[in-house]
Amino acid sequence: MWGKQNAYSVTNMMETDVTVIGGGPAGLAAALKASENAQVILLERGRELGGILPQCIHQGFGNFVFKKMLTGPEFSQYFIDKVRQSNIVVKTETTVLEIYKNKRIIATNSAEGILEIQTKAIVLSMGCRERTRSQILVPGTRPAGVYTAGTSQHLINIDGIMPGKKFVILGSGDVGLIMARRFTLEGGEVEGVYEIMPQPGGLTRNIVQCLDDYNIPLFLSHTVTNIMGRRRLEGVTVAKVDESMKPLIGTEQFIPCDCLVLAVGLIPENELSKQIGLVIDDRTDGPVVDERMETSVSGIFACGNVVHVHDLVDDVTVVAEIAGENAAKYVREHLEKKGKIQTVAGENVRYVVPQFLKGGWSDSVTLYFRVLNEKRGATVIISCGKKTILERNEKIVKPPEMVKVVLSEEALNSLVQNELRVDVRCGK
Amino acid sequence: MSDRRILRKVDKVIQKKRYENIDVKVEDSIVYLNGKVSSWDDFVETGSLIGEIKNVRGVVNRLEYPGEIRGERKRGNKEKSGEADVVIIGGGVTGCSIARELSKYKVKVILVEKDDDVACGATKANNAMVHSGIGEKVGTLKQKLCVKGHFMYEELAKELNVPFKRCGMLIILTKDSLSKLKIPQFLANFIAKRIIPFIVVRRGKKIGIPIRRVNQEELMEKERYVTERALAAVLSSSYGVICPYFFTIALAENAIDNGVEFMLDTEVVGVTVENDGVKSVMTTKGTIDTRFVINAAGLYADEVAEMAGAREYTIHPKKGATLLFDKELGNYINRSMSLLRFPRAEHYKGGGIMVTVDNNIQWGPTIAECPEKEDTSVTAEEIENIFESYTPLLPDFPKESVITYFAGIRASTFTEDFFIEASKKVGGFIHVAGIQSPGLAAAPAVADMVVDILKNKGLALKQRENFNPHRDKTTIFRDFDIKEKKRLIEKNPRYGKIVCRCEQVTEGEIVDAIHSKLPALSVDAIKRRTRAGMGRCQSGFCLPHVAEILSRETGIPIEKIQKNGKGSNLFVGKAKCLLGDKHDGN
Amino acid sequence: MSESMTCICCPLGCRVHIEKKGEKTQITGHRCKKGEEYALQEIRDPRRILTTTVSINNGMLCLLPVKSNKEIPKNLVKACVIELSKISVNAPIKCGDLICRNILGTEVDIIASRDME
Repeated sequence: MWGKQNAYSVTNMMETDVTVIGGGPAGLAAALKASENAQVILLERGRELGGILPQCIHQGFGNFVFKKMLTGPEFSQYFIDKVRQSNIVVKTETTVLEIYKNKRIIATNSAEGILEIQTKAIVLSMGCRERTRSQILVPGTRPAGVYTAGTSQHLINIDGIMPGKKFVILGSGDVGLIMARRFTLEGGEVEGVYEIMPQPGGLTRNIVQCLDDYNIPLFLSHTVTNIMGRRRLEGVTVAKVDESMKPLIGTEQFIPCDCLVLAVGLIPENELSKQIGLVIDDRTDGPVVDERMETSVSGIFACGNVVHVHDLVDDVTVVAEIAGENAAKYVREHLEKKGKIQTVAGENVRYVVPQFLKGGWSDSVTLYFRVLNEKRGATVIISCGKKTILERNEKIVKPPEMVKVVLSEEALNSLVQNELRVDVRCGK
Repeated sequence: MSDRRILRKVDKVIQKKRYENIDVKVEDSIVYLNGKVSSWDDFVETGSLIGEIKNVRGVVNRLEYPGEIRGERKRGNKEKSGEADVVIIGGGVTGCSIARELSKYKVKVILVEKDDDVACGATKANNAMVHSGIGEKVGTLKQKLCVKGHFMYEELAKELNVPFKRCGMLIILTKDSLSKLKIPQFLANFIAKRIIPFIVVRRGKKIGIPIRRVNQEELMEKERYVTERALAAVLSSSYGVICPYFFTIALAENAIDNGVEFMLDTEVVGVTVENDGVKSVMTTKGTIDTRFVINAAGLYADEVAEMAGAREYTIHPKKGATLLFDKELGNYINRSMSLLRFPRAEHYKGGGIMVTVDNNIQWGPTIAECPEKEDTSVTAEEIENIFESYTPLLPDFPKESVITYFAGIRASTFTEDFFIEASKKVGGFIHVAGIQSPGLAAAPAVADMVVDILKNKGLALKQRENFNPHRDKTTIFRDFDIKEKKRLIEKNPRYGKIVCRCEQVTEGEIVDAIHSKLPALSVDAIKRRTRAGMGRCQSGFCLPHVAEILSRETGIPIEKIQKNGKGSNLFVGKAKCLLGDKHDGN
Repeated sequence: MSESMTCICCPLGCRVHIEKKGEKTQITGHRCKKGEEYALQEIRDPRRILTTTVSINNGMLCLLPVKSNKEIPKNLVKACVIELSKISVNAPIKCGDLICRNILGTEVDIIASRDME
């Protein structure tokens, strides 16, 4: 079936039904679902499957999918075990070099050399990369000892290396908070967590269990304004910021430290998507998808953090299964689509995924969106033209917490216009 | 001009500025300043004003100012470690060009470099432009060498297998070029469109470079994103772009191939002079007996000259910061561009926007006097300055695609020109100082000039018969087509493992760099040879893997792996080393 | 004695205050019953799940992620971590394997969080 080798072949040629690119939680779930009805090849550039999960040794995964609080490794172990028992062809340490609209993929690994895969459908699940110090323009020198949170997590939990002794963390998203605790439990000293926004970015549970538990101070409306140290970090300057997030002169303080950890955001990794020429939504930095997770090129699906950054891996599993299922369906039959409804990010909404609904539903559809500003006592309104399809009250909405709205089959079938609007209004 | 006349002019300057406590001496057209000034700004200003006086060859500025930072001299090793016909101090593009040129002859050459790799000073932090000479002050040595040197790049790049592109530079005039002059807009437009291009082209033809005027229509057609306010441009078509550190490493490797010895992590702490001639060079790793010293020590050239008692200049550092953007935008412009503004700041070409040979767009560099030789920080103001300076050229450029920024320090003398001559005080001591922009472009010509000086000073230079000008092409996986990639991996499976995804760098290339002729023994040294870590994620994913490979290949324990030289340890120890009483730090 | 804490039961994150006057305990600031129960538990017997790594020999990686199978007293977390830093296990390991029984007398076991060959 695969690995046709003959004297004249330039590369290892393979043909398959569905190729999944990226073996993290999204790719694993998509591959498993697709394998129920199709031949699947799963490509992963890392040494093992699991994506980011093997390094997320803390709890917080699977609360909805498994009704249990699992660690990252436990969560991915479940899927890895299932993949092993399946017929999915897994290739680790394999990187995709080129990808084409006609679904030809060129990849490489040490054992087999150049692989050429002609596939009928593709699922993109490459995940994210981290925003860097340079992208947020932190002034100063460029010494050793400045890391993004994910890299420092890999060093500590996978490579067995301690990156520093005295830490300053910029960014109070969950990754930053988790690392504050991790550094402390490995014997490090965390001087403080600095957050440019006036409210913390991560879950309250993490503020309590990662910061409060260890007396690590959290400074809101603060940022790092200078990095010092020639060869190795010697310290940073922090300052308070105003409403437009500009540092306030006179509030600068020098904090001696040898490790600055940046948890300042994730960016979907869409180099391959751009190579194919998929339509990218500049609000999510990910490919535009419909409710089947199909992108602007038919037969190419995308799921997980590559589409937009998720908070919970459980949500990733759900959308990945949709992607996998539909990729397999695409291979066997034409995907039934009727019409095209565009979702619109209305009041206080940054983006909505999926960006399009193509119809032909036999099930409910979940809309995922994020708000622009934190609001208490808000109402989510989904409307189509003048008609309100759904209304829901939320105690609190905040940008770091993605909101999900499930539209029933009935509600979907009642849509007559081609625009579905999501608004989040204050009060009732 | 006699020393007396120069002294009179210097006194005039000092009086005009009402400086007190300054003692002046002029000898052989070199001005020596001693005394005290009230600030570093005064220190620089005094030196600069005096440096501008006609016929002043050099300014030795020993004026003391508050807050002056004096570097600590390291301890030397008196033990004899070797001998050479020529010792080159400094492994930047200048030193390595000279080394490679000298390797054509039957002479024993040792190059000493204080950092852990070549190209660690201004060489790795400039804007990669091989200038044509159009922007240099007419009549200066740097202009002459720039014009000569930049023409030499094709052949050199071919011999050394280093990518080089004659990208050309568009010197652009816009409706705002003359805004500082406060003249009516119609007049400004006329001058910008008709007069200035004519003058620039004439100047270019005079110095012997290909140059022509580009009208508004052609400019807009060929550069679709350039500002609508552009009126005209001048195309200096012989402008080139190269990767300056990759080029320098290639020069070094070829020099090594041809017999030059490189000593890295070796700092010069003394130059012994006997009977008015060089006797030996004392370094932190031993003393080298030699008769000829090439002082190409960049920012420290003045201090090295001082060690030999041959000081004829003072280096006043000038920082230049540059922004680097995502290579996704590599096709945003076709040629390099710069914005011509009048009046122009003295000794500053204004930097520009260019595409590197690796397809990244660069904006910069800036210019600012900088009291510390090692201060390569980039300030918020410098970043803002860069955006402000270059946005007028490309107003719609997606500025959020910045992937990194860096700064380098120019080793400027107060005369703002290269100082390349044999010392009259100390026989065998050759100054190659004050190399700031256009140092990269001029390097091949500087090397030729230095070899001539050595010949004139009595160094016998016989051609080496087995000199091999050719350096083998570095294996770069991403440059190969599919067939070649397959063959490569079959030969060595390590080329099948991608380590740096952003730049498609394989494990094979990283191992090659570690075991190359000038081994890469730090993460940054690997970066400079392979580009691992230079992509948009800035080594976020590949750093642990690169460190692990480096440790595996060299036996250096992973907790001792360095980013770029002594003190730049990336990690403090193995996991759990800080728990309990175990402190397994460096 | 008085203490304040942030309730983690729901995204509202109410700031709950506990005042103990002799036998009486007064709890304010919460907006639901869960908050009151959480606060009482936190002052009486705060517990946490511990997740960390232990050294593993001959494994694919040099560290094995582990977790406590139940919550351990909050004030013993650091001591447990130090205790675990002194041991190492041998590959192969299966997810759920016992790494340390009854750590520091807590009656809580530390188990492997994944397979490792």
